[in-house]
Amino acid sequence: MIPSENSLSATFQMQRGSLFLGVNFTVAPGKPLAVLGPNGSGKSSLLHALSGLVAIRAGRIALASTTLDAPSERCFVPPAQRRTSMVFQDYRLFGWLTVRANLEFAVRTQTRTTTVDATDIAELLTRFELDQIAEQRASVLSGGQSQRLAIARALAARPEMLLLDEPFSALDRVAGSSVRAALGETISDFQGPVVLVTHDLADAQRFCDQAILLDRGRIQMAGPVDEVVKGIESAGPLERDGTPAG
Amino acid sequence: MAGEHLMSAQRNERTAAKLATGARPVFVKILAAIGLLFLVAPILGILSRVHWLSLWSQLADPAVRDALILSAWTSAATTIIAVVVGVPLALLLARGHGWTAGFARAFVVLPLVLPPVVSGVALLALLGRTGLIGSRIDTWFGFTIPFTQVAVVVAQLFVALPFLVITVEGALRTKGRHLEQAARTLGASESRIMWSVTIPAVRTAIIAGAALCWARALGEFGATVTFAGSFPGVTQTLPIEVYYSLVTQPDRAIAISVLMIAICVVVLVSLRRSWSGRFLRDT
Amino acid sequence: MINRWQRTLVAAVLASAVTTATVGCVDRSGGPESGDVPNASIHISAAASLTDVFTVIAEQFELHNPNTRLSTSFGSSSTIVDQVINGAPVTALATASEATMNDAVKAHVIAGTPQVFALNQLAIVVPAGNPANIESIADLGRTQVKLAICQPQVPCGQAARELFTRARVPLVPVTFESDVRAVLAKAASGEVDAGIVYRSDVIAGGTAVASIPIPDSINVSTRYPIAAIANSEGQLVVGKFIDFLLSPGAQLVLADHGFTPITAKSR
Repeated sequence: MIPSENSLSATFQMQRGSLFLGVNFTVAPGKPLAVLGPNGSGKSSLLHALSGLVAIRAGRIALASTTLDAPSERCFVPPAQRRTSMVFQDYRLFGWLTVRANLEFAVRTQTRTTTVDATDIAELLTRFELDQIAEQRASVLSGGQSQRLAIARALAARPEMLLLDEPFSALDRVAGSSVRAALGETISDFQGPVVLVTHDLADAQRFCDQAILLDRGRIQMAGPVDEVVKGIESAGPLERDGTPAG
Repeated sequence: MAGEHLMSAQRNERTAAKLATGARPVFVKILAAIGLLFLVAPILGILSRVHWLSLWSQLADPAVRDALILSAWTSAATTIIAVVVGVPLALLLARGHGWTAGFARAFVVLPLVLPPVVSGVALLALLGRTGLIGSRIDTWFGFTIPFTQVAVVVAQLFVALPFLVITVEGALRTKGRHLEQAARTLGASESRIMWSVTIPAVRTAIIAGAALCWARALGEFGATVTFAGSFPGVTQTLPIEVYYSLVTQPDRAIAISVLMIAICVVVLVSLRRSWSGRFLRDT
Repeated sequence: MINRWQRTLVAAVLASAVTTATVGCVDRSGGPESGDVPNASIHISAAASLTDVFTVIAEQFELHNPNTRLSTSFGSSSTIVDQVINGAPVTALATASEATMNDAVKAHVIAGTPQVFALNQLAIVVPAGNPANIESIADLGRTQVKLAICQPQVPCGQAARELFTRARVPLVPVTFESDVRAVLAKAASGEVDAGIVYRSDVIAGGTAVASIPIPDSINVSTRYPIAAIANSEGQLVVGKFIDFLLSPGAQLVLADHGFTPITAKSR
């Protein structure tokens, strides 16, 4: 695949605890990447490296022509300056703030002004069906509402890259479907690279074009999402130790 | 067969409901009751000695009033200082790695294991008139710390600060880090994260730690008599007044103790209510 | 026998645990290797000012009475009286004033009549080198002089008050300490310029402190009574110990430690 102008390109190694992660992939805008793999295979570590929450040990992460992390060049852009929004499995909302204030928090950090563009917020509230509960404290929201707010908040920061870490795994079926609907739109409208970490093959196929299968820090399979999923299914269900069962 | 299934299903539901609220086996309840009784019974003991009719006249005594005023403001000052320096200390400890943080952490708990009298001796050795720093303060400024209200606050701070630091540090480890990460990916500056995320995220713990710290400061005795001495209206706090009254005016000592118990219960219970009402649900 | 040792231990622990004023506890019970079976063991709870002298006298008493075990613990007189009233397992009580002993008598915990065995007089104690240049009791009225005395509830506090009244000097201490040894400690560490203690305490303070004489005309003396505790075992031994205290030898030891020996007349 030829990387487009605004692609994310990542070739790096890192160490997290006992896990050694070594990967190499590219994500073009409009071609979301699914990261599949069993627990402990390094999926979350990969997202942490992309977002800058953890520094890589060797290699390079670049978004378009901007290098984000390259130890050999002594280059490291801290997470706050990467314009990379991340959606977490456990929402990580600011529970003491209202729904609106959670969004304002993200808007303010990017514009670096104290005035907040009200139309921006209003648009997000409507799009994620949060306008009815805009003045409620985030701590009292349901799981579905929480994750929709988390996605809205990620967009409010006007990111150039979107990272999603198991966004549905804490949700029940009903809440999951409302969040899936909201996320589907978000991803198709989004202008930059998207990386979705998931253990659900159906979600990978629904939201992504590309996929990689991680196991013990290594890429086992890579390619169009349907091929990777087919490859995983023919090998049997994923086991905790990463070896296909049967 | 169908009936059996139904019964086992009901049983399962009951078990599940129990598990949802946390299982409470009988032996846990018994041991817990012993523990609670052990804490409550002595309070009942002291209440049984109270002369309720003379309670008010005992407390209205000017000596008691002076001690109450002194204890009230010194423990409040101690708590404020503890929050101002203790929260930053907890932040550093929560983020610190390696031996320096381990070292610092050991020193933070040290006042908890030191007998308060020893804490007082240590403070004298540092800030006393002949102490390491105290002697210089005396030479340069002509001011000595022992026997002043400053000394009362210093003694209280030394023994009470750990309660705040430990409480806040624990919360920072469990709650603070994840929210800080989220704020970081949203582009917030580190100083903004500190004020808008980290501190609000642990404010329940700051309130709880401040309450514990205040309660410890209010009850401080050993370090205070050793370092600050005892003079009515200047350094004689409520606990010292209790101790000195115990032999000659036991009724007054008990009256003051009841007053302290009442103050503590009111403050801690009202705080507890505010936590369970609003703060506890936030994470 | 083990039971008695345990009682002694409990008494010592009780006496030292209840108060910070306790100066120390000397357990004179010899090891079981001595072979002889002691015919009694007694525990004396004594005023803090008696700490050093009773330790010496107890040693001598045991030398004279090899079958006797004698242990001691010390605290402020009001505290030890309170402990005895609350059932501390001691066999004898020695206080630094007759007033505190009377509290014990009134509580019906004393067997027989308390016996005065020594007198003590007040002294001005200053840190070694006398940094504030205290020359007489009149200097203690200067406002910049930091003075420590005992709290008014204990004998040495009352005596100090009496002294300043007699001397017509304003009494402006910076601190009221819980017992006389706490006053001594404050002076020895140099935290105060002067303290009012007993003459015996100045001797106990060694080279860390010096004393300024108080004229006999205004000095206040206190009388030290000792008594056996009602219903305690070993009262016979207590009687022997009291006789020993009044003997010329023990009175000499008391004098060495700054106490005024009791004469037959003042008894």
